[in-house]
Amino acid sequence: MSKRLLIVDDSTVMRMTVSSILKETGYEVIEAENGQVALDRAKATPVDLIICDVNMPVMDGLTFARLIKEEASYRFVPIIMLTTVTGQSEMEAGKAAGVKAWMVKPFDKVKLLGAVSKLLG
Amino acid sequence: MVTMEGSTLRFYPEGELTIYQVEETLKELKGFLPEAKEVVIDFTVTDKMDTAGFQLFVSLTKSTKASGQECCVDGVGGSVENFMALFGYEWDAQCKGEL
Amino acid sequence: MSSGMNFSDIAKEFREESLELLEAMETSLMSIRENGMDDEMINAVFRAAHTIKGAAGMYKLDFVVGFTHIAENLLDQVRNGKIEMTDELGELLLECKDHMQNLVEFAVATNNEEAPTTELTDTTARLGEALCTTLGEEMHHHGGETSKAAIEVCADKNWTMKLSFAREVMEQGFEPASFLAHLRKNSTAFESHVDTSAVPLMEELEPTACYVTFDISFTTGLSREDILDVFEFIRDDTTILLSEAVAEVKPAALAQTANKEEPKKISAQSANTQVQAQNAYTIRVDAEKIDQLINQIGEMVIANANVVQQSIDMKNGELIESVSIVSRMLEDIRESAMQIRMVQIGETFNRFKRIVMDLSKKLGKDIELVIKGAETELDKTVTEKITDPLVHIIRNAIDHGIEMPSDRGSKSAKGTLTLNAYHDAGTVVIEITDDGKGLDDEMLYRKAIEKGLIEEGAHLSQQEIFKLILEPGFSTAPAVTDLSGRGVGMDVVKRNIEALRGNIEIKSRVGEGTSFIIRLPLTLAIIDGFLVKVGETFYVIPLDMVVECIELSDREKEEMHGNNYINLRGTILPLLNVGDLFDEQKTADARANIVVVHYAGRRYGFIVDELFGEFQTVIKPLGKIFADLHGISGSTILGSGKVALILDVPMLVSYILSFKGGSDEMKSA
Repeated sequence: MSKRLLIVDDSTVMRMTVSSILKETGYEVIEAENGQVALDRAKATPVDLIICDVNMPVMDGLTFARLIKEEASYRFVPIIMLTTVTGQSEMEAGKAAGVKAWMVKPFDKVKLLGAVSKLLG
Repeated sequence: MVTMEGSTLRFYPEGELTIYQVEETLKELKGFLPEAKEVVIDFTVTDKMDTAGFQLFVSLTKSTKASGQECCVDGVGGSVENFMALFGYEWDAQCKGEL
Repeated sequence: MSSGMNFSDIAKEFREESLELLEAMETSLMSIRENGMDDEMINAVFRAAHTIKGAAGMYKLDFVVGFTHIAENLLDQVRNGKIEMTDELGELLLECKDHMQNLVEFAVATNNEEAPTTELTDTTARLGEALCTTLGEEMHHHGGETSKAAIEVCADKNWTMKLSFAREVMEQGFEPASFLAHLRKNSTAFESHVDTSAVPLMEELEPTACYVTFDISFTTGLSREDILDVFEFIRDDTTILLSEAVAEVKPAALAQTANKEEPKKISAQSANTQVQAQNAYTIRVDAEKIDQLINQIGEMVIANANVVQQSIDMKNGELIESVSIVSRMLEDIRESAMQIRMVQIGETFNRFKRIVMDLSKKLGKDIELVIKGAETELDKTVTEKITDPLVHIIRNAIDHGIEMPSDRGSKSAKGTLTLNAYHDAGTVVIEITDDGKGLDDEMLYRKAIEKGLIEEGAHLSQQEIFKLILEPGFSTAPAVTDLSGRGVGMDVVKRNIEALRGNIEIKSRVGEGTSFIIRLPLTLAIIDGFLVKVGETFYVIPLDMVVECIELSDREKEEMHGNNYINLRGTILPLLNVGDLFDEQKTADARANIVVVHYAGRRYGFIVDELFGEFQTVIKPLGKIFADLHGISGSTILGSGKVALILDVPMLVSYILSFKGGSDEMKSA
C-alpha cells in the first residue's frame, strides 16, 4: 500500500508543486492550506509523513507540529518543514516540536524525495 | 560501477555517486583494490555527485598513491565537473587524463 | 527545473495566488496606515512577499524572487520592530506591491521565457534602492547590530570564510555542497578551495562522515547575518571563520563608510559577543523594566509623603530634616529614572528631511525644512506615537499649504517649513509652521456645511473652524492628489494626539501661513489628574480633559431626574453617573457635582460626589485580571495609601454615546 503524505502550505502553487512530485513517485497525497485544517485532516485521516510550511495564516506550521505531536498516533510520524524560514529560533522550536528535517525553499526535488524516502524508512 | 579488467580496476559510477551509494561502492572498491595495478575512473556516466561521493573519490586516489598504484581519471561529465568547480578541487594534472 | 512540473503547468494558479496575496498586502498596508501598526496586519504583508518569493523561487522566476527578496527583508525588519512603519514606508511598500504585481503578470504572460522589459528592470532598480535606503537609513537611528546587517544587504562586500563541518553533518541529512552552492548563488564572485587532507585512506574511510574543509572567498550583498543564516541549522557543530575583506560599497551605504571596520575574523559562535562589544556605550533595556522602576519609585515617593507627614506631626526637627533630605534624593532618583526614557526629538525631525525633499520634488515645489529645538527631550513612547501624526501634518503642509513657486506672489519662491520643539510648563510643544497660503476660514466653514459636519448658521470660533480640517471626512483639496490619494485624512492626527493625552491648536493667516501647535505630556507614565470621590472610591480624571466643575443645585437635580443630560448655558450636556456605572454605595447627603470633560470636540459631564482638585500622579497599569474592566484605564496610589482609579474618558464617552443612541442630538441645542 502506498504511503500517505500530508502537505501543509498556504500557497496553492507550493502545494501543487510538492504534491505533483510526490504523486509522480507514487505517494498518496492529501493537502491542507494551514495548520488548523491540517490538524483536522490529520486527525480524520492517518498519514505517514507530513511536509509543512512554517509561515501560514490561522495556524503556523510550528504550532501545528507541536499540536499534532501531542496526538498519540502521530508521535512517530515524521514531519519535514519545507520553508524559506531559516531563523535559528524557529529551527530550534521545530526541533523541540519533533520536526525531523528542515528543508529550505526553493527545494531540490531529489533532496525532498530523498528525505521523504529516508524518513519513511 | 566497479569492474576488473585484468589488473585494471575500472570505476565508473553510473547515475549517482552520493551518500546513498557510497557505503556499497566503498565495499566493492575495497574488495577489488588489492588486486589492481591500475585504477581508471570514469565520471562521464555520473549524473550526480555529493560530498560523500567526492570523498570516496579522494580517498580512492589517496589509497592508490599510498600503495604505488596508477590512478587516472578518464573522463568527467558536466555534473561532476560542476561539482568539482564548486569545491574548487584541483585535479591532479597527470591523473585527470585527456579531457 | 527542480520540480516535477513546468511553470506553464502552474502559471494560472501562481497568478491567482499572487494576486490574492498582493491584494491582501494592499488591504493590510492600508489598514496599518489608517489604524496604526498591527502585528497581524504586518504579518499578512510579510507573508504575501514571503509566499510569492517561495513560489517564484520554485519556478526560477529570478526577477520576481530578486525584488521580492529585498521587500521581504525590509518587511521582516518592520515585523520585528527594528524598522518603524511610517506612512512614507507604507507608500513605498504599496508601490512595491504594484511592482510585484507587474512582475508576476509579466512572468505569467511570457511563460517566464523572456527577460523582463527595461521598464520593469528600471522600476526594480529604483524601488530596490529605495527599500535598501530605508533599511540603511532607518537602521542608522538605532545603531548596533541591526544597522550592520541592513547596510550589508545593499553593499557588495568581499568575504573570506574558513568552513569545517561536523563529522556527522551528512548523516544528519545535510549536504555541504548545497551550502556552498547557496552561497555561490548569492554571490557575484565565488571561489572555494577544498581541503582534502583529512580524508583518510579507504581502509579507514567512513563513507558517510565529513572530512573536507573549505577556504572560500566570495563577494556578496548578503549581510553577515544572512551568510551565517545559511548555516543556521548546523551552526552549533560547524566551525565558521568569517571575515570581511576590503569592502566595495555602493552609494546606498556610503553614509555608513565612516565607521567601516577593519577586516577581522569572527567565528559564527562569537558573532553575538562581538556585536555586544560594539554596543558597550549603550545598553538596550526592555522598556518594561524601566516602567517597572519608574512605577516602584513612584510608589516610594507616595510612601515617603506619608513619612513626611508623620515627621511633621511628631514635631521632631531632626527627623523632619532627615526626611526632607531623603525626599529630595527621591525626587532626583525619580527624575533620573524618567530621564532614561527620554530621547531627543531631533532624530524624529531628521527623518522628515527626506519626506520633505521627496514630496516637494514630486510636486514641483521648492521647500526648505528648518529644524529648531532638536535637542528637546521627550518620552520615547511619545516620540514613537507622534511620528505618524507629524508626517501627516507635514505632508498636508507640503501638499496643500505651501504654494507652487509661481503662486507665491511677493513671498520668496522657496517655501519654508519649520519644525520647532520646546518644553513649556511640564509639557512638550511641537510646532509645525509653513509660510504657505494659510487657511481660509470662510471656505472651511462652507465646506464643513457641504460635508454635513456642521449645521448652517452654527456659531464657531475661528479656532473651531480651523480644527474642522481634523474632522473625519474633511478634505480641503479640490482634487485628491497623488500624495493624499490613499485616503488617509487629518482626522488620524487628532485621534493619535488625543490618545497621547495631548492637544492640538491651529493658527493661520490667509496668505501668510499655518501653524500646528501640538502640546504633549512629557511622559505617559505621569498624569496630571483631577481627584474626585464617588461613594467610597477615589477616581482620577485626566486633568487636560477637564473643562470645569459644576455643583448641581437641588432644583437642577429635580429637573434632571430621569434624564441623563442637563442644559448647560444653552447646550445639552450629556451626563454619566459614575456612581451608578460602577455600582457605588450612595451617600444620601452627598452633593452632586458634575465634572465637565472635553473629548473629541464635545463636552460631557460626569456626576461625582466630591471634588478634591488637581494632583500629579504616577499611573500604574491595571493587572491582567482587570483586562475586561471597561471605563478604567489604570490606577494610582494616594498619599494615604488608598487606591484611586483612573477613568478612561474615551471609553466612558463611547458608553454615553451608546445609550444616547448616537451623537446627533448633542451637537448643539
